[in-house]
Amino acid sequence: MRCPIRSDTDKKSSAPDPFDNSKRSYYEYSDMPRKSPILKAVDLSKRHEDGTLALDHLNLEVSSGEVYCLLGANGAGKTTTINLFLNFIPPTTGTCYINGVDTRTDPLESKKHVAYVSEKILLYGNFTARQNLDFFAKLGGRKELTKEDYYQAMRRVSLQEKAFEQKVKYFSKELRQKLGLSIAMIKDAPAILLDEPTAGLDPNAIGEFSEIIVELKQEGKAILMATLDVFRAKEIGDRIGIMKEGRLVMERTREILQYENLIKIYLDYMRSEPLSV
Amino acid sequence: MIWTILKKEFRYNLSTLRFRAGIVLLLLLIVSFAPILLNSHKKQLSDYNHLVSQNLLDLQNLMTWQNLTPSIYNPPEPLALFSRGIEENISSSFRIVLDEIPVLRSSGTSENPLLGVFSVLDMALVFKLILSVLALLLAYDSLSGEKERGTLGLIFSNQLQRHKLILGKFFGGVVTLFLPVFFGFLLTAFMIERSPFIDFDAEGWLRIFFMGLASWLLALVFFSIGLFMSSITKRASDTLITLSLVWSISLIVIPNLSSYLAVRIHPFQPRSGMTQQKQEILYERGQKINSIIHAQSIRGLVIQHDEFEPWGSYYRVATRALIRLRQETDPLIAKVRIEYADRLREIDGRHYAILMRQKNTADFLSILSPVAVYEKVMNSFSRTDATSQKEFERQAGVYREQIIDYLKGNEAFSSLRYSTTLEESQVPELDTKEEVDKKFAPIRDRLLETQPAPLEVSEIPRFHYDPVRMNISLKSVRSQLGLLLFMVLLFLIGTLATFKKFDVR
Repeated sequence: MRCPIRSDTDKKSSAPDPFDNSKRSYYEYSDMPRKSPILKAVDLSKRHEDGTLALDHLNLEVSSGEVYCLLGANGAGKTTTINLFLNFIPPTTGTCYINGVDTRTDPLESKKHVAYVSEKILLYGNFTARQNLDFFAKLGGRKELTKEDYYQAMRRVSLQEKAFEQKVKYFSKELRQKLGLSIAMIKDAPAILLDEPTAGLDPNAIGEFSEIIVELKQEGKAILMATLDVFRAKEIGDRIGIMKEGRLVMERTREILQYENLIKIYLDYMRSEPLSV
Repeated sequence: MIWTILKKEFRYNLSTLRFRAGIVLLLLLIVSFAPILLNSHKKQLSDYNHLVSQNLLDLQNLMTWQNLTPSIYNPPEPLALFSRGIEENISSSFRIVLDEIPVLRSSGTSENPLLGVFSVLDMALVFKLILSVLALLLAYDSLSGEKERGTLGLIFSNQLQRHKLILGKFFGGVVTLFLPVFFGFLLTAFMIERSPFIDFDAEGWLRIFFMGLASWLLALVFFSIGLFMSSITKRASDTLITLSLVWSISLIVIPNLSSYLAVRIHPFQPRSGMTQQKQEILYERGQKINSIIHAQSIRGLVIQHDEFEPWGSYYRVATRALIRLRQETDPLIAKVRIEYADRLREIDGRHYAILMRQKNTADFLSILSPVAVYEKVMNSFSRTDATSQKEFERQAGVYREQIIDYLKGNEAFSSLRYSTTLEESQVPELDTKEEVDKKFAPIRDRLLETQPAPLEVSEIPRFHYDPVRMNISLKSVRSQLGLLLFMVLLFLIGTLATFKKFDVR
């Protein structure tokens, strides 16, 4: 099912209420120029079988050439959001769209338009970096690629040449994450979902990682990144959303954040009383 | 997509230490065990040839028809090096006598020789141990391990349906497990081919091919069990523990427990009861034979000088009265002995029926164990199963009838040469004690100076064992092969069903 096209009359001009995001996405109250969203969550909720509300009426859009950073403590709902986009779990209510395709009704078609990098990515240890890349590229529908294409993809993420034909089991976490990113890149999908990709990396590696993400953004990718790293979010995020207890409690653009202290806002939210109270 | 997964699975399996170690261990065990088994066959063959030639020699020196009691031997089955089956439980020879119809007998202490034993060293033991473990090791982390590696989520971030991953993994396992089976059987075949003592015909090789196929199927059963377990557990370590339990139950518990239960479900008739029944019949037979003898009027003195030949004794010298008595009574006694052999066979048959019931019950109970099912298939293709042993017994029975028909056809029972080597003219007619005292010793001494000619035996039927044909073996194992295939499909379908709800995160 394609995403319903919203008319301009739907836009709201009133100031955003960061605690009331249950029905509206940022575009609905923003004056920034509209691009059609590649990633879109509409009224998305997830209640687990044990009754825990993991996600509470999330509305979110990420457009082409945009990096959206989801900040929040562990259990805030960031990974749940990504899992819902990937249709790994079914939503309780609401819908996700990737490039206009409903992930629930047409999950296979929606996955054509998305690449994914997770925090926990050990890959196939007995395969070389190129063999891992080759397998996932073919799964992603890129069957025409040559060995040189794979090398090129690995060069793009600054993977050392000597690592190309090395078994992944000897890789550090940094190298594995870079390889994971090159797997996502070689799919050449318009949307990329990153689930805490820099967790456990040293500052230098995080810096390199950030540069690659900025490059991808410049290529027009819509990037949704779940992260705990508020500094990195501020550095590369075009928009930043803070999640708490399954709710998107705040959303800011890079422009607005020039005048605000994201770290303070984030810590304030983290230290504030539980929402349920 | 399935092809992409299959190729990746195959290449990944080949790259793993467990696969390489498994295949090296398999080949090492084959290289170690094959010479032992080939030597064992060589010795069996040598013993068999010796016994057969000794039997032939004894036959060629046969002096009287009454001692025509040749032994027949089940030739050592070269395919037994693949699977010994119940071959060693059962006596491999029969003595052909009038009094008894050949019946399978236990060669050891086993109460029911038809029930298999676990610890027999053969190629099937090597294959079932290594292939089952290897298959489980390849499958145990197929899904839970992918999840732990973080690759499952990555895989399903692509346009891949869940069933395609399972089918790709399954067929990857199918291709991977073909390699140890192929190389294992190839190496065994190579070692057999080099042995001068074994020369398989086309059917022999075809049987080996089918044994390879069954071994592959066994490996696939365990692989699909591993896949299934991997799809219902969250962690690879949990899968491994569960599979260790499944393996032990399948390999050790079920086969032994099924035999134990089968014996309890169909207990043996008390042996004393069977022995008593036999003794009663033998007593009745003795009475009948006595009445035949007593019914004859003996004209003259009965005295003889016995001599021994390998299969019994005979009258080297005997008085006319004795010879006449034997000529008149032997056909009647032979008839009684043949008749009572049938009655004794009935008792053995009842005991055998219990053995068969136990075996069938054990077979039925062990269908839960792919290893037990595999063993039956291997035994059948190796011609070491109950069907083959029963066939040897049947052919021994037919041979006995041929011998009886031959004796009857040649009127051997009433002939002089049935009990003595004397010719008609040589039979001394000594009617009184005085005559015997005076003449018997000189006649005997004179006769003993000459060596009587053995009987003409070239026309006597010879035993040639015709082993169970391929079509019979195939017919007897088709349900087991079908069962193994069913297990593969059952667990594969089970995996497809459970994996639909598998949390891939």
